Parts: sequence; C-alpha cells; structure tokens
Amino acid sequence: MVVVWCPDWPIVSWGVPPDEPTAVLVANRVVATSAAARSEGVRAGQRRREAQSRCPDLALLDRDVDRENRLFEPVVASLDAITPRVEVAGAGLVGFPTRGPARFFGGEEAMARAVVGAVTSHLSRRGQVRVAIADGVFAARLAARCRPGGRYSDGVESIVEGGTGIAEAVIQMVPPGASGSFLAPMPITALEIPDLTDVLVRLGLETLGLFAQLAAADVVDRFGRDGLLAHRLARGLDDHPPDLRHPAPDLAVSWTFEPPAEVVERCAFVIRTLADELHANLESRGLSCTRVAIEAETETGERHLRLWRHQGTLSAAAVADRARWQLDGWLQQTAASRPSSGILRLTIVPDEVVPATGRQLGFWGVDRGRTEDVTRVVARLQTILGADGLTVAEFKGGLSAMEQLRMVPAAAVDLTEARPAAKPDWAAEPWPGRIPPPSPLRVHPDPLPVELLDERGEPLAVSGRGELSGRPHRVRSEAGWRTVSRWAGPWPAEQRWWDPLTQRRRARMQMVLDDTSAHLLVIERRQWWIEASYL
Amino acid sequence: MESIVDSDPRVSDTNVGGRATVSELRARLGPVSLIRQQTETTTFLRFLPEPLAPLASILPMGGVQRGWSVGVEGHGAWTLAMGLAGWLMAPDGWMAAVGLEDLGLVGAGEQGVPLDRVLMVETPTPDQWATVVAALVEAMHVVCVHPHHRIGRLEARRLQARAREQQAVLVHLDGGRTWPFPVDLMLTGRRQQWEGLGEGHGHLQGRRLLVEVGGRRAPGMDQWAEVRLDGQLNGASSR
Repeated sequence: MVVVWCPDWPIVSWGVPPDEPTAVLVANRVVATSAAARSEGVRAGQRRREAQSRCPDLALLDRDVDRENRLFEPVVASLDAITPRVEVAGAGLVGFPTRGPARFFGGEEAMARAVVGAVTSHLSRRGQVRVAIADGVFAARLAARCRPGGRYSDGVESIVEGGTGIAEAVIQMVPPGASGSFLAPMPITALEIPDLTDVLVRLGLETLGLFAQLAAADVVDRFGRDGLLAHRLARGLDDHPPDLRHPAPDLAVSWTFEPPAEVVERCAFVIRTLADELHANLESRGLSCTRVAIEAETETGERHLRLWRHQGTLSAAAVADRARWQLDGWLQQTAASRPSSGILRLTIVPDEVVPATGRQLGFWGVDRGRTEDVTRVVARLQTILGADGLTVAEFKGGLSAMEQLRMVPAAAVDLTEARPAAKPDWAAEPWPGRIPPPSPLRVHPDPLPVELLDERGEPLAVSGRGELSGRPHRVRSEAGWRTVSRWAGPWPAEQRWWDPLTQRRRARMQMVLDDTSAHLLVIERRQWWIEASYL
Repeated sequence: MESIVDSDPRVSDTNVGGRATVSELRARLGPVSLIRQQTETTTFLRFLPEPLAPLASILPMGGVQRGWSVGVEGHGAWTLAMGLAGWLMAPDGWMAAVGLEDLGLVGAGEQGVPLDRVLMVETPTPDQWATVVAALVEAMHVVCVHPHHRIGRLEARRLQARAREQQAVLVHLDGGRTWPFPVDLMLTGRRQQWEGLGEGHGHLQGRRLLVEVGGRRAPGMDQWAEVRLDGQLNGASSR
C-alpha cells in the first residue's frame, strides 16, 4: 500500500505559505500548525494562549472541515492519472494499492516519485507531502510519520533537508515482508487506541513488537475483538481479517436526479436519504461499512468515483458528509476539470463491509450502542423542530457557568465520533475569577431583576473597587420579600475592559435566603439580577 | 441472581422491631412481587453512586428500574435529578432534556452527567410535545422533561408504556405536576443546609439535604434520608 499524507493540510487548505506562523484551532486548542509556527515551539494540543505566548505573531484560523475536504479533491484528482483506486481516508490523507501502478511505472520508487510530482504540483510549495510504501496501510501510515531512517513521532514535525530548508517531499519505503520488523520498535501508543494501549503499557508491553509476540488466541481471550484487530496491526497485517465478504450488489443505493442537479445544495437532501437507506440495508444484514465508494454520473456520461475509508466504521452521517465533500469538490473545480453538465445519478456502494459489532446486549442487559439510534432520532426530530431546535454542548472556557459552554446544532456534529470538546477537561485550566463548584443547576436565560437592600433600607451598591456599600439584608423579587441569611462576594467580573463598546463591568454574589434557597446574583449598572439558582 | 426480596433492607428493618402488622407487610409485599416479575424483562439498577448512596436504604428495593418515571421537587431537586441521570446513563447511555433552556449544564456535568452524551431539545409546541418525547424515549436512557402545559391522560399513558418498553427513565423536573398520574418514584428535598458560605466570606461548597422518597413504587411510607451533595458529585467529571 502507498499512503500519501499532507501533514499540514488544514493550514495548506487556507492558502497560507509555510513560512508564516499559523495555527488552526478547534475550540481554543491547536490542531494543526505551519512549519514556521512549529519552529517557534507551537504544537498541536496547546491552548490558544500557550501558543500565542510562544509565538506572538501567530495567525489563528478556525478549522473548516468542509473546506479542507472540498479543496483536497483536486489533489486526489491529480492521482487519478496514476491509479483509478484512490482511497480517501480524510482531508490530507489518501492511500492506494501499489501493485498495478508500481508495475506500470517500473518499480515502487519510480511510482512514488510520480506521486510526489503530481501532488507537489498542486501544493506549489505551500506544504510538505509524504509518501510511504509498506505492506499494509497501518505500517505505511506510521512510515509516513517517521523521519527518514529515524524515529516515530506522534506529532507533526518538520523534516528538514540538509541546508535547503524544509523538504518539499519525503519518500519512505518499507521493503516487502519487513513491515513486522519495521513496526517492532514503535511505541504501542502509535495504535491510537488509548483504552487498550494504557492497559498494555501497564502490562509492560511498550512497543508494538512486544505486543505482536503475544499469541493471537491469548489476545482475543483478554481483549476481545478490538484487541485482535490491534494485534493484527502490530504484526504488520491489515486490521480486518482477509475473509471480507464481498458485499451483495443489492446493498448499493442510488438516486436519479430529475432534472439533473447543478449545485451541491440540491444533492444534500438526497445524499442524506441515500446514506440512511444504505445504513438500513447494512443493518438489516448485521453489517457495517469500513469503506464506501461514491460515484456520481452526469448527463453527458462523465463519471466521478471516490473510495472513502474510515478507521472505524462509517456512520450514516459520515457517509453523507463524504458524499457532500466529494460532490462539492468536483463541482467547484476549475472549468477544465468541472463536469460539463449537471449530476444525473448518484450511487453509494458499500465497498468493504464487516460484521457489525454495535447493538449488542451488555453484561447487565443494558442496550449498548444507542448512539446510532440517537443520530436517527436527531434526524427525525429536525423535521419537527428545525436544525437549531436540537443542540449539544461544547466547552469553550469562560468565567461563569453560563459562559463556559457553547451550544452547537446536533446536526452539525457527528455524534457517533468521540467529541473531546464536550468533556470538561477540554477547557479545564482554571479561569481566574471563576466561582468554584458546585455550579448552579438552574441558569435563567433571562436573568430575573431584583431589588437588593442593605440594613438601612438603602439599595446595595458595589463600588469601583469591588466593595459593598453595606450588608445585604433584604431581596425583593416577583415572589415578594426575602431576608438574606448568608452571602459571599462581590466578585468582580470585568469583560473586555480594553474595548469601550463591548466591555461589561459586573460583579457576582452568592446568597442564601431565609428559605434556604441559594442564588447567584449579579449587578450591572446598579441593577441586581438573579442569574442562576442552586436548585 | 440473588433474591430481591431477601436483600430488601426495608423488610428486614421492620421485622426487627416486630411492630409491623400483617396488612402493612402485605401492602409492601404486593408491589415488591409485582416488580420482581418485571425484572425478568427489564433492568433493575442498584448500587447508587457514593453521595446518593444513603438513598439506597429508602428507595424501593434499593434502586431504580429502567422504564420508571421519576419526579423531583423541593430543595436540591435538579441536583438530585442530575445525580440520578448520570448514574442511569452509565456506561454509554444518552440523556435528552426537553424544554429545559434553563438547565445549567456545567452544574449537571459536575453531578456526573457526561455532557458529550446530552442532547438539548427546545420546547416543542403542546401538540407536538408527546411526539417529540416519544421519539426521544426510543434512543435515550434518560429523558428530562419540564412541560409548560398539562399532559393529557391518553398521551401520558402511551408515553409511559413506550418508556417502559424501551427501558428509558422519564425524569419530571417539575415534580410531575403536569403529569396526570402519580410518578413511580418521587424525590422531594425537604430541608437543606448550606456549607461554606458565611456572612460576607467563603463560597458555596456543598449542602446536606433531607430527601423524602415517595411515589407509586414506594407506597404508604414516609421515608427520609440525608445526603450530602457537593461540587463534584460522582467524581466522574473531575477526572
């Protein structure tokens, strides 16, 4: 297998030259960096502030997966001249079998150079391309991550060519049959299955070689099916056993557009329906799909076929995304390579299927794998409530319980994937001035105005220095008067003090009233509000 | 599986004093044997998380069954609900909250609710409410509701049957006030005492809460237990 990897694709797709320090962020965390940023010490996984402190003139971009995939399409198209069966694993990462093309070009090395030539002409020195050849996809991927003849690194590192700066292309070859010995010294974490590798490291199996030496039967015994797949990878085999069933032709789904679709928006609805139908087909046979072929045909008979692979299995939402990216990329190309007429027919074929492992009864009879049901329900309820009616939370860091989360439409995220942004440790670094937990369970979307008086019956005020004008005594809300029994604060919360237009000066207090209810109050412009209640 | 009746702490407790009358015992045994039959097809969950553990001694059979309706009201009601929800969602279940724009998700996360498996659903119109909740019940382990209108008897009966079939727990954050039937399990926070807050100093740290257990499945008994709720309830969110 050949793996072609553009390590900095998220940066390249924004059209940024590699000598400008740039980082791409998701929810305040760096996910990709340009070569110049890396040389300043900016690494994936850092928080925005940390990255900026290392490199003050760092340009920050938001991640745009749709754009990355759409712009990657011409790069994939440039490989079409080399092989018809390019498999896209994601934006920036493709693979294809070596045998045919290598014979055509007269050797693997010559083919690798042809690949480099095709891809670099598209990148036009904006980023590096790495080509790796090995027996299996996994070994090839790891080879792509290694320095020439050197060590594996789990982050992206710039590979520098002696004296001439950053290499435009790097070719790595693992000789046939040597994948096992190539993988042996690699760290076990390269499998990128933290749940499994944590245990293996604790068992003292720190390299793939040590893990590969275990008997397959013992691995299945202890770690089950997932363990077996990892074990196959560690031995330099492909992750799925070779007895893949050939999918029956009736699993393919297709749709004919009447009239032909000229823009991707018109296809979007059909794509989703097709993806759902495909999934229903697969599910009724107890299968799931690891590679899908998406083919579009135009009125004038032009065809566009792409193979999409996923390390896990492709959910309906994932299939739909890929189809959209592919069509988007194809329809928005330059006039020369754009189809000359609208799309007439769209076909989705499950190219590689494996027995589905989802929806098994857990040990306690609890129905596992309901996430697929959740995505289905989300799709159904959207028709009733609209896309904004269903939301999921992501952490973004902030001062108060209300500012720490951002709600995103559930349709915009793939719920079957792990979502690190929805875990509290995504933005866990303490924000100065944050009120410690417990956080209030009831946050009023519209704070309730209240009157707060001190012991003399005067309205309570907070001075510019954050001092109270008296002891809080009585609160009047819609429900009537209450006495304050205990309180703490005020804690000033100044936001954007440098910007006169958007700055806000507020102060918060916690109060327990005489009915033992506890509330979070906030004062802004001399008006007190109940912002949240500890219900 | 061990016998549920033998391990029921309430039965042994009352036998110690020897004061329980036959009719009282029968009143307790009736529902117990009924539930026992159901456990063959549905899941009964025991072993509450640490801060809620004191509730185990007063919950019917020491736990909660999937498919029940649970109501919460009074002090700390939503905190109790989220503590229970986090527990019911383990290991990989989902929770939906319908019409709860005011639910503090950060607080819910601190009580052990995994926020990556929470779906927030905006308030549907009254005539669509039952449709939306019925759809959610099919995929979620826990559905939290706070309707702004009264639910019809027919709708409620259908929803409850659907929830029982799908083994989802309906949590009424309004204490079941809009629900036409008594809920299976009712948790009422009767009294609470806050810790950590003084007169102008400190901050809220936790509280001791006196919880009363009632509802259809805990018949005829005023059972109380004291729990201590603090910042990181189940410990799940802090690690």
